[in-house]
Amino acid sequence: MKLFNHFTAVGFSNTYLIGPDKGGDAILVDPGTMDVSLLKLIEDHNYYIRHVLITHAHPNHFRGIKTILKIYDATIYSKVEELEGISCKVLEEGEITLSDQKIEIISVVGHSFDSLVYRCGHFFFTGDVLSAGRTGTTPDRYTRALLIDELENKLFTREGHGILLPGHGPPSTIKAEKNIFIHMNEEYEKQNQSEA
Amino acid sequence: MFDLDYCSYPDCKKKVRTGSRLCEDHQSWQSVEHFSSLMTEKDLIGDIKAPGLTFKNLDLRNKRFIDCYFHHTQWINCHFDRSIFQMCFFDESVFMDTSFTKVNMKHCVFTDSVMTNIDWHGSDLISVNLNNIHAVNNNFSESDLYYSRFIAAYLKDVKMIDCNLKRVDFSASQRKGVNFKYSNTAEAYFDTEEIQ
Repeated sequence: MKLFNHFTAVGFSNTYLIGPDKGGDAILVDPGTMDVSLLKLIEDHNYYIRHVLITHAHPNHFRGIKTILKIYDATIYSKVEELEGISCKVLEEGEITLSDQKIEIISVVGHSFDSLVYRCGHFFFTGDVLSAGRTGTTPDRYTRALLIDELENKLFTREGHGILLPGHGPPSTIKAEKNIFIHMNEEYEKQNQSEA
Repeated sequence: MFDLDYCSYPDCKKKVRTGSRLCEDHQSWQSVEHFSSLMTEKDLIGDIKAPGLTFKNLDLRNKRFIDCYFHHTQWINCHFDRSIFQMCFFDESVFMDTSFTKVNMKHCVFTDSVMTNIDWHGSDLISVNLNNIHAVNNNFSESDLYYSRFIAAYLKDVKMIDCNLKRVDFSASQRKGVNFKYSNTAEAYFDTEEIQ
């Protein structure tokens, strides 16, 4: 398996391309945009996009799918039935196999009701629920508590060597995020107590 | 109470002996000499995994490091000047008297590392994870640090003169004697004051 990261300044988002070593059917994760450099990356490695995984229905994570569907006969996977008029195959927690790759689907709500984390081998595609040193944004304290509970139970219990590939910013590891999360969460609680 | 450490090799759950970072299964073939000669002889260093090793006095100038896993390594008096790095993991590592001048680095991870006397002068460090690092006497001057993160980092006597700090995150960092002269600090994110 090969993994490529594509960064776009539009939405400052990361798109990930997963494919076999010598070309063939490939998977895209969160195509926030479909630009010439992403197309070149796909074509240079002789990939055909057969599956597109969306972590959550925020435009900077799926805006590229309209263009992708003009080029490739791909299936879009998400937790919602439709993204801007494009129908999706709805995913629930569990495991699926796409292009010979086993993908574990982990629901982590809080940043949005439909957030999914995809695990492929030891790679975790976290979208916006967790990035390097940052938990996902939430609208209020209740949803923040919900997100923290989900992260503690569903991600931080995983093998520390797991590699975290977020929708924004640099990669990280599960162990590093667990360590930094404890520190940052204590700071957040202190701030909230002093404000109260 | 002592800690029990696990083998640093990915997905290995065996415990290691005191003074070692690899279990006996992985220690025998993963020699420093093997990886040192592999890296010095080749220009393209791709997809190698060498966790837990200590490298000294290596000349690794003008190399390309792609998808490498150097978790928990030590680099003493090594020189990576003008090299290219993509998606490389140096988390929980120790760097001493090492130079990365004029390197081009994207989506790399140095989280939880200790860096003493490191020269990064004139480099492009794009979307690099430097969270929770302990950096003393580092020189980042004239570097582009776009979208990199120094969350919860300890920075002492660090030069960041004339750097691009657009979208650089210094949240919860401890800074003492950090020189930001001529850098666009207004475009970076800070939530703590410098320690006097």
